[in-house]
Amino acid sequence: MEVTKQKEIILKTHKLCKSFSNGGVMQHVLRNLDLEIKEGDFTVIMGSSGSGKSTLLYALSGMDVPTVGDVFIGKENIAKMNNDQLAIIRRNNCGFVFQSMYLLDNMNVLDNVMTSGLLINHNKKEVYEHAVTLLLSVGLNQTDFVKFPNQLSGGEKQRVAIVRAIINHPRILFADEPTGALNSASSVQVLDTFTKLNEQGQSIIMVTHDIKTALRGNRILYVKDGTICGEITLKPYTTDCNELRKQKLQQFLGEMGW
Amino acid sequence: MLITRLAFANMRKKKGTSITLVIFILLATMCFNIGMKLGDKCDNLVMEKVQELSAPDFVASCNVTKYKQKYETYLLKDPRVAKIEKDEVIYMPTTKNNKNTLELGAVMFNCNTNREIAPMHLVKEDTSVPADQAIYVPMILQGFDVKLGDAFSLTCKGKQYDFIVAGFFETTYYGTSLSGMLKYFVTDEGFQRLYAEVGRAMVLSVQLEGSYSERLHMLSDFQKEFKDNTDFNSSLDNMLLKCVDLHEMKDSCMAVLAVISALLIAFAMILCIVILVVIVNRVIEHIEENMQNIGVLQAMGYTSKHIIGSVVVEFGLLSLIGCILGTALTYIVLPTVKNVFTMASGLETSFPFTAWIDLICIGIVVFAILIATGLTSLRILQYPPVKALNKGMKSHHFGKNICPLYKGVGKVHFRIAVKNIFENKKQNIMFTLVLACSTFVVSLMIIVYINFATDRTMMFQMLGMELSDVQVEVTKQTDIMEFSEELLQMEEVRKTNLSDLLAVTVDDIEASAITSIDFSKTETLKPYRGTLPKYENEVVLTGVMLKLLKKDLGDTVTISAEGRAKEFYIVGEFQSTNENGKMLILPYDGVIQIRPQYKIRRIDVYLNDGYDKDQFKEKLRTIYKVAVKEEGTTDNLATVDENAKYSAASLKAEEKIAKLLENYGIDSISYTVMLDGKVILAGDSYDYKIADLGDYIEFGSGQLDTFSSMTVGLVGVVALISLVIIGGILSITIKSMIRKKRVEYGIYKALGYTTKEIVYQISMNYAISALIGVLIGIVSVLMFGNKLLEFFFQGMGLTQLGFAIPYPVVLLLGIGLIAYTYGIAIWKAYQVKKITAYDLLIE
Repeated sequence: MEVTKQKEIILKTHKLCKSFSNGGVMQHVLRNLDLEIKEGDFTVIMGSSGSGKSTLLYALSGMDVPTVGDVFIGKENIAKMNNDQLAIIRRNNCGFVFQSMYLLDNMNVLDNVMTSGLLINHNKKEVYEHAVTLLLSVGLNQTDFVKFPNQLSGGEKQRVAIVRAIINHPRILFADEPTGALNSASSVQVLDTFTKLNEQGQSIIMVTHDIKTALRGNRILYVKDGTICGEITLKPYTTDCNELRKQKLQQFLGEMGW
Repeated sequence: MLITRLAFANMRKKKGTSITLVIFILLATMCFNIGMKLGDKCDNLVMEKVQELSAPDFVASCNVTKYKQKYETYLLKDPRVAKIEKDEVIYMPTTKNNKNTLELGAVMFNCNTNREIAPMHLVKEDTSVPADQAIYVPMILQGFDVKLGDAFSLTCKGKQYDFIVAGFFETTYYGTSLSGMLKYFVTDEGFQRLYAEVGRAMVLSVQLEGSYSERLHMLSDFQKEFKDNTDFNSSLDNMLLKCVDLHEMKDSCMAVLAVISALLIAFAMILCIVILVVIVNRVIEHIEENMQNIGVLQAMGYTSKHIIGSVVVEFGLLSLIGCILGTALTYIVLPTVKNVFTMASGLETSFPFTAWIDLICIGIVVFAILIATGLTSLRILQYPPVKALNKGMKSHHFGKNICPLYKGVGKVHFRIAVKNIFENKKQNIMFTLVLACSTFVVSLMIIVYINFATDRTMMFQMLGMELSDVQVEVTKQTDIMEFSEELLQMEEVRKTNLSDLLAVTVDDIEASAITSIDFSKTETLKPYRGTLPKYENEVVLTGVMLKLLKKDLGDTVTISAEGRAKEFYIVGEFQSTNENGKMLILPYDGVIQIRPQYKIRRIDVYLNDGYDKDQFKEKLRTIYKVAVKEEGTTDNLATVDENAKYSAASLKAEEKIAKLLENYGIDSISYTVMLDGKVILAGDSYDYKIADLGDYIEFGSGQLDTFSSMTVGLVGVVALISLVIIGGILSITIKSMIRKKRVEYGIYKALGYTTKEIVYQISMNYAISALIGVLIGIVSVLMFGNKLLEFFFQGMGLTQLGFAIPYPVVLLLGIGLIAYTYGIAIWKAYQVKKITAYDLLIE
């Protein structure tokens, strides 16, 4: 009898709603959304343009505050927190990777990573060694450490952004269209990095509209009209079982109307 | 039109910054304008007043016993003289009054005498004051807490003379503390009351023929010829009664104001430089921020000239608005300036609309700003449309990673702040410069204030006088050497020295000579170059004299007095504010060469620590017969008590005898005084050893009081304006920085940095810049402060300033400025609270 270890729920929402006022007209982007994210999952959120997937990501990561409802990271309800409290939650629990990377262009690669690392750990030597290890692990070499962002390729920049996001061992790594600004070769490099991290136990929540990117996840959520209207679980990604997984995903997406 | 529309659009976009710049320009224009108006008044007011008050061009005063008819006869024969009047006046060598600490000589004219030259010109009057008690005082005393109807007493040689202030008048001479003497008017009753009791002097007032400038031109020769052709100089036995002409009158009225005016104009210039630096910075930022818009305009067909023109018009309009507002504010502030002016000069004036000064100020400020803006805007020529549309050159970092986070000291927030300092080099250099200038200027003002108002030690040294604790002037019959030895035996006395002041001519320049038996005993009289004179043919001159004579150490000058002349070697240079710097130091042996009959009459007494000089003076009065009496002595013999009557009569008789000896040139007298058939007093004049007791420190304080009260105001104004400028610049630069770095701060927020931590980064950036700026300012003040102040004060006779620098105060100022900067930066940096991580995502 196979005993599966119960995964801990690391993020949970309850009746999550987000609305925007647009010229006096209220737009309800997220409607009464209930969601649970388990530890170690690589959750991908998909949906058509304007479906609310990015809004959902921002609300889950503490980048934005929901209009109504609760969001629990661990036991903490971040829905009621102010900006500074959210900042502290983010530094301790979340890592965020942006589509536009958003590296600090007045700092080199190492300092970009240290900027995040030194927020939690004041021991420069430890943070420095950890940063170097992570940067090497994502395929960058020593000569890249002193380069400034404008001297790096898109893929290299995104990998630096990933290292910056994980240096503090976040509970969840959030990624918003991380390959959106990259060519296919760079995209593969970046996605491999995510896959590797997930294999090491990192929980990831990613928003994408790209099937190739979505295939890296083991749990796909489909957002439509502000709610999760469908969900599929895939086996963990490996390089050799792509076709089966792809077919399953495409069928699911077809059913969702994508 | 197109250019103006663009300019207005830019101004509307950044209203806050535009308003701040306008305020800066307003303040600079106002300071400049007031400084120039003051300077213009200083140049022209005496000329106006000489006409309005029918003032004399030349005044010769001497003790009534020394007066000779030939002085008047000579002047009457001189074809240059248009009019001459002679006045016998009451003269008090030193007086104290009951309203303030001024200790100055006094000359009192009879206001009931008809005079055409300098009749009493009242500005305020109280007609209810009884004639016998009325005194009319110079306008300057209004600034020293004297009002109409006040009880006003003058104490001279221990005797108090009571009056009531019946009016204030203007005068071009003896109207300020700088002249060492004040002029008063009393009624006939008051004059007669004083006539019998107090010393008298003769005053010859002369008006010359010709226009004001012609008269000014001929005055030096006129005065010299008068002294050469009469023996007027030999009649002088004190330094207050002498010849005074329009040049000296102007200096005594305007010296302080000229310094204030120069300081204000200099401050305005510094403000202008700061404003230009800020504007250059703003223009550069404006171009960088609007690069894409510039590209769009170029793509639409606007030429570089249009775009540069719009920037120039924008800042030109702001400067014009600021200048016009500054000019308008000047006229609002002018009544206060007028009061200060009157207080310092003793002359009533007004500051009417002076378009030429206003236009010059506006012209200079606007022109400077237009030039700076135009030259800075030329960088737009580097950006053709495509480059501009791509937001110009992105800032590429290829160089060194300043202050890496993985090493060094300090927490991550501090190190990011230091990184930002280097990243925002231009802004931080500008801000550092502003802090350096502000620290320099305010420190300078504080140094002036401390030296003039609180710790006057250095100032007294710069007065160029020997400041012993007590100065004892002996009577003519006293053996001064013997008396000096006698004083030395007293336990209070540490040492004594003999010294005096006399009038001489140095190569045709009238000057006053300090002489002493033994200069090795002097303590405050110090040359700053060379040595004090040792031999009979040596002299030390002031820097002012050296400049006038075009001489230097090692040269010779001819010093003459009473028709005898001798050559002396210049062995040293000192400075003195007395006589506008026309002072010299001569050894007694040297004086005897030119005035063989000269008798030194003053003993400088130095007390031991712990002894009070007032108590010592009282002791001298008790032991020796002096002309100094206890205060409150009454002349009224109608007392109830018989003993009191005799005592009062005795005292009055003693006074009269002392006056006879002192004022009427009597060498000795034996006396017996009877009252009601009884001998109440008998004695010999040899009992009277002391003619007067003096305190030069109090005398000097009185002269400095006018200036010190004005420096308080100036320090306040300069400090306030500096704080406004610093706050304004911080506001502009932080706002601009937050706008430029919105994305960066959004990233920090996304990474988990709190608002407080980002505020710390921003404020620490400016605190560090402020620290560097303050240090530069303080070092500059220490190195150049005295030199710069020399430039401003040379008109007062000070050519080598050694102002004491109040290190603790300057340090406190520096700390205060840094704390102020840090506080304002924190306040302004809190704008970053509005930036959220979410803004980044919707950027």
